[in-house]
Amino acid sequence: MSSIVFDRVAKTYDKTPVVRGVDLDIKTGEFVVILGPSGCGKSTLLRMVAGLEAISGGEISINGKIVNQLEPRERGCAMVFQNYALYPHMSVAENIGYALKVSGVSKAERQQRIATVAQTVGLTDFLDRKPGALSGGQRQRVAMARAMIREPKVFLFDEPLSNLDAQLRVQMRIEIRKLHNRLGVTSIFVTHDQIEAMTLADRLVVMNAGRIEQVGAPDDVYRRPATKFVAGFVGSPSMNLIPCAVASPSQLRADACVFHVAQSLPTGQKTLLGVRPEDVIVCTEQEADTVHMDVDFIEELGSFRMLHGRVANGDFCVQIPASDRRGTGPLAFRLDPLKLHLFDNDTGLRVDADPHAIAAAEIAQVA
Amino acid sequence: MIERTPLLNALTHFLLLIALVLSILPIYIVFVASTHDLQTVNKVPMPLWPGDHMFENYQYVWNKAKFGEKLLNSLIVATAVTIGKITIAALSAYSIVYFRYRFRMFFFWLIFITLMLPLEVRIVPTYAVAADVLQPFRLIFEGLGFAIALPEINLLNTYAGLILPLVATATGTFLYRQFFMTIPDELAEAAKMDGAGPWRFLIDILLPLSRTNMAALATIMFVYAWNQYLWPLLITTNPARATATMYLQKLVPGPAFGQPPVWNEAMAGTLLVMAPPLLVVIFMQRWFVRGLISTDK
Repeated sequence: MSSIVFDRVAKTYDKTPVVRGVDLDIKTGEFVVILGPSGCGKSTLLRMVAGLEAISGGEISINGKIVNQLEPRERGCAMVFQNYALYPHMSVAENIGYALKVSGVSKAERQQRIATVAQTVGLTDFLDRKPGALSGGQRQRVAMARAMIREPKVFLFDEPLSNLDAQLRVQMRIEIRKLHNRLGVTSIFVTHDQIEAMTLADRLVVMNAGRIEQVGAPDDVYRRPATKFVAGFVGSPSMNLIPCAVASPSQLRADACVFHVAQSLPTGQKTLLGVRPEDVIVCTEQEADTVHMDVDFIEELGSFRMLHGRVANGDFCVQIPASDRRGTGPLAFRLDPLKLHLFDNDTGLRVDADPHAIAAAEIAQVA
Repeated sequence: MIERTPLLNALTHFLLLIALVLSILPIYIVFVASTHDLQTVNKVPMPLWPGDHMFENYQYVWNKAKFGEKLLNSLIVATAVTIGKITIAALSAYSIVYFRYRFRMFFFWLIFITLMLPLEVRIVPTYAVAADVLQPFRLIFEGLGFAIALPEINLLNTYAGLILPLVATATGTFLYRQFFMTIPDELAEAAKMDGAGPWRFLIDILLPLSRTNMAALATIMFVYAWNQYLWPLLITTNPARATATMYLQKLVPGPAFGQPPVWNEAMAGTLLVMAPPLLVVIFMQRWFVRGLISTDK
């Protein structure tokens, strides 16, 4: 069953389109992360669900009910803001319980529910404090508690972790995911941090320039990016992308470099060859089909090392294990044809078929 | 910028001291004058040390000018003006900052422009309206050719007449507007998500947050209303409605034409009239300063 349905949702500010026709179904209890660079319309999309932005086109429905014309309070959503937006003059307990106070819940019930929620997020000892006397992580918890107490149908998170320091961010990330596992409330989480996105999401939605580029499980999005934008955006360090021409059906050429691919492509087509730095296989000069690169810079990243150089007039990265202590200078490597990503240079869409799918189809044919 | 030079410090203190003497000295002289009898005060030069007629002077003035009644009038007018100004300023600023409607900026500028029209400038039309509140409407209706009989409402010699023309304020609206604009939008959005309507947001969140602003505005406006002289003088002919500030002038002239002014009594009255606003400022000072200098807390 779908909990939230986006049907051709669009948003225009003074004739400038910000969100251009988004279609998406979110299942009940699902944790969906919307990932994209700043200005891609992801926050606007979230705020349209919340009712804080008017919807310029299309429809959003929550639990089968179209909410375009509903006030925020009638939509059953709770939101956690980037800067927490706590009421500075109210104590933690008053902040958490404000929604209940507004809806006329009796004082006794209110206190009891505040106590329950505060315990869930570990704020029991801080209920009398003002937000000004709390640390960033504690404020974040208050914001979460404030959202939880209304027992909403939908949780909306608008980059809630970006004001925290790195360590706390990891901790809160885990807490949010645990909380979701426990409560099972449909959640939409907007972020530009791909690690947050990968770790939190049941389903990842990658947005760019007001459109959805790809929807899928984080692992699928990482393994098989649907467009060149997703290929470049998801993954850190990002994927190497080399513009090539198809020289012969299974061979790509870029300047002096020749790459072999697992499937045949129409000769002469311009394509973009993508390979992740960790999928590059460092080898010796003697092996066949090697590509050469001059390593001019090395990044030490602790668990691995990143070699930077240039291939076919473009920047290229190769990841090697930390135990490999080679220095700058010439490097030979080859690419596994099954771990390449091919994109149409003009449309940006992926053009190669899934090798696993091909293999599965062949097995089916044989049988 | 913080300078830590002994010489500069000394110079600063010296300047402060001069400024202090300059502002305190006249008040001291008023006080000294209020403690002598008439002959001593009118001597040249006037003595610079307090005399021994203080209590009888104050008692005499208090009874002569019926200051009990006048101070009460002043208190009623100043308090009502203060409350009215704060209410109107908060509401108008709330409307201008938080609601989107047509001609919003036009209304804002309209309010802003009234800063250029203090009461003294518009005193004649204001008096005309106070004498007959519905007169402008009557003129409009006559101009349009309607024959509607509107009742005549006269506010001369009433508290309403003393208070209402002083209530509308651009200063307060402007102060509130600046403050509301420093409040992050997310706070309003969070309140919306919590289900609070516009009134609840104003009462539960905006007003408590603007307490210091309110205190600053209240202090300024109380003193402003208390010190009003021209308007009460113009509109009240009944001594029972006179304010203390305007009644001071009645104390100055001598008992008959040509005799010297009774400065000792006038000065005693002045100090009596100054006391309440002084108390308000002293009491509100902590809030007052914070409200004017801090943009956030």
